[in-house]
Amino acid sequence: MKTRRTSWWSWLWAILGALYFFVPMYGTLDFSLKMERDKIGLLAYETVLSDPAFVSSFAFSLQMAVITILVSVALFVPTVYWIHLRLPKLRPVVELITLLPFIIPTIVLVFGLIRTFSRRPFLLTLTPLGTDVLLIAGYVILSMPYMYRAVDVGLRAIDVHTLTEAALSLGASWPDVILRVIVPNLRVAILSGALITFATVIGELILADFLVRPALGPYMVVIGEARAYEPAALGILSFGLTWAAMGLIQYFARGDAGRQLTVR
Amino acid sequence: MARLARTQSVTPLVRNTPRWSWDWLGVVPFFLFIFAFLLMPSGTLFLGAFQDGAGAWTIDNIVALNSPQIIKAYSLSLQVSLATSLVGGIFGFLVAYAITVGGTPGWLRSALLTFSGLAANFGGVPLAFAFIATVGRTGFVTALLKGLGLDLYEAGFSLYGFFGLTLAYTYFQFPLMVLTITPALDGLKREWREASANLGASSWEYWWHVALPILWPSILGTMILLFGSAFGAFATAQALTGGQILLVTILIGQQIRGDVLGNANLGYALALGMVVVMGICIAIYTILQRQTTRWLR
Amino acid sequence: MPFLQLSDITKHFGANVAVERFNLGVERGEFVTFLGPSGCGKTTVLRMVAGFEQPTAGQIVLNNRDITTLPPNQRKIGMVFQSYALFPHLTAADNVAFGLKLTKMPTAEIKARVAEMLDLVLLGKFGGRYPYQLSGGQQQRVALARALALQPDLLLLDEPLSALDAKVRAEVRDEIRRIQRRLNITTVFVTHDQEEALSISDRIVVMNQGAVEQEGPPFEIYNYPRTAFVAAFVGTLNRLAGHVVDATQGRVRLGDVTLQTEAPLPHSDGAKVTVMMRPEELRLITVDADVSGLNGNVLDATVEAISFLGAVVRLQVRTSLAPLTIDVFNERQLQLPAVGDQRRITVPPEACLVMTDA
Repeated sequence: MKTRRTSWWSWLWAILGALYFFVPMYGTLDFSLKMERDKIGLLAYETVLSDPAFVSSFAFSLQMAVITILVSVALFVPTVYWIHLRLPKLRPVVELITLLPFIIPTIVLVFGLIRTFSRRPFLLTLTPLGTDVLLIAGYVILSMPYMYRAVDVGLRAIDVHTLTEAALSLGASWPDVILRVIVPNLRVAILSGALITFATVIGELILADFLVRPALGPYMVVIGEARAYEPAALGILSFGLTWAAMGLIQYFARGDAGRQLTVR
Repeated sequence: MARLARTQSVTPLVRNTPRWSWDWLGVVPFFLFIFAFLLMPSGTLFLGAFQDGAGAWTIDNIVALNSPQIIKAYSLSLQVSLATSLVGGIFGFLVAYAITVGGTPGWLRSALLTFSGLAANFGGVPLAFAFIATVGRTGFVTALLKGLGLDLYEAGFSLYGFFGLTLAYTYFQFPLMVLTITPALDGLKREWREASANLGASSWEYWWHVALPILWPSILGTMILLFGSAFGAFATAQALTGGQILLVTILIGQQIRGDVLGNANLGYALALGMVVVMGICIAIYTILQRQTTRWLR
Repeated sequence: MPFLQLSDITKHFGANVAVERFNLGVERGEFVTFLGPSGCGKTTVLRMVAGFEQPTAGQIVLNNRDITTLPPNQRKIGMVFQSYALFPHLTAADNVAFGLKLTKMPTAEIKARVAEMLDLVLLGKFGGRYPYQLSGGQQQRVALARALALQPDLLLLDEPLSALDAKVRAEVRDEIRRIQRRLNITTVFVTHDQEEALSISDRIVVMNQGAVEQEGPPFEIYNYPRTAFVAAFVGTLNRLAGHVVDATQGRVRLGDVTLQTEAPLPHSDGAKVTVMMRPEELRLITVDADVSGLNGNVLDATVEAISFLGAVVRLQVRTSLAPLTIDVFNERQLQLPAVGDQRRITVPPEACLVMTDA
């Protein structure tokens, strides 16, 4: 019968898809457990986790991720709210701008940042602090499409006008409106945006590498060139981290799963 | 009605003063940030692309892109992007077909969608590590196949070149296709299939004359997105080949580190070229996207 | 043998019985409507005729051809869907041409037929438009043209008007009927809207729970319902519970009132019955009007609510038996009572439908 043939064909592709997903995962896991000869063990993980360079680079990336999240929330939430409320005509312009990071590859962005900010009048690359400012700015740009989209979708779901009017008529000031009315209603959206930003920043290579900052991405490249088993362990750890971030997003915002989150 | 009600309710408190308003002040921080860290850096490159070393205007840099080294980098980048977007696109479409119209059970659908959400966001250096551990010289699959009498590397395969890169990129490309095309396949109305059968079409004719044409903008649009995504990628290629594969992104990276082209302004032109390619991709994608939303309104 | 003959059609979905031994013959050129609440099986029967569902048992014969197991694409049946189901990537003209192109008809002929069909549905100038550029009513007319282009033996209409606005609905309804008459095409129409069914059909098949309740012309279905379900589903109705006191004389006792109905009744004396009356058949008279010769079919009533509906004025009144609804035809000289006024209601014997309680 026809349905049987269709079903056979479907199963074939579904299984191939699942294999493409699992085989590299399994291969990496298998590899990461075989650092000691003829023995399954966690030695590769122990080596990585006890490496001071790993700890410091992870801590650095974590720190950058947190600052990036704070900056982008502080920058995007009021802006997108204001556009919804007062400047709807600006929306297409802002939407176009948030698409720009797709058009300008990260390697081009970092190229431009370095050339612009390593000469007068905007000299920033001479000090670590100045470079970190550039790094965070770059991260904010990279995660902008996702953060903007999350906040925009969140604001569409609530009636911004009515909420604002209700708050104002009850005697709230503008900061009150944003902090006590809008932000609490955007909790889920902001949280999803933050997790996406986290996933983007934590293993990012290009910006950190070319700005020469001690982040996790450049550390991984060094390890990848020098060692055999530790990279596999790092791969599994990153995978777990992505899984956790994705899982949390799906947990907080049911239904809006999927979508590509990180910038490559 | 709803629109009318809204305007009326908005007027008293949230109102634009007729002639002049200070509303625009609210978006100044955003635009300053974008100007400083996105527009100004891009502008530096774009203007630099049309200047010579002394700052005089010229199109020599654009002309100089026509050198064997740069042409080769662009063509390699285009080949890799084309290959992964085609392979990932077609494979992703078939998987999406299987879990939607194909009639596989529901648990398989949700499992594959969850995996796709994950894999589509798994890239960069760790992805390279995963493929080295799997099909690298001493990788799991390589060893497995060797045991079965097939030596991949004897047979001419190398993970550290074109094929390997295509294989690795497909890992995040095909799930991206699954995620974007599954809703489109779900959006095929049962009535379209029935109407076409009612008008005398066979199942094959339905797919050829109705389903595929309706899906076409989504399929093509997503493949273009995959193309752009591969074209701009750097980290996986760098980690997988140690910078040995000369893609445009890798070449730009080398230019940033040490002016391998021997002309700073030529490096800017190289970057401008990338942005032009990506811009064309996004423009086509936007047009196709508009087409689909209009049809399915 | 009728042009379309459905014999003992039965459809089970697992343990659910959707349609049970459905029998119907439709003559060539006839317009037959399946009327019933959602889930009554009317759409399932239609889909079995179209070939989208396989009957569990029974036979479908169209134009002397047994089509029971024929695939839908070989049945020569045109179908119009509730959701229009136009192909969004094709223009109106290309939608109409879709089936013709599959038959490998010469291009010139296709062009002529498409133009003819679009003219038929009054959309001659809209051939180049895409579905999203057409209103709901226009889309449904294109869908009709598409279904008719192949000159099918049978036209099936599955709630084609449900997605349209009230005004457009009446317009498209009349147009469907006009086109159906002109082409003399055998048509089966499915709807849950009794007004639609009454206005468009040659014959109505009222369905309930997978079976036929009653079939007949609209006039008969409305005025002579044979079951309580049909009476209640088609039109508005007043229901009063009581029992038969004299079957041969047709007298029924309702509370403290004895009503004279059309004699004789097929019930035994003392049988519990429900008496049903259409609102437009009750008459409102003033308290001092002469009621002699009305056999005592007079009820005292207090007016409780008045709604002006245009052509009719609908009154809600309280009586000693139960609240009643009365429709009075509107005219300029009409003396409308006020809420709270005392009036009397007369019940013509022939207005009473007497049904045995289930």
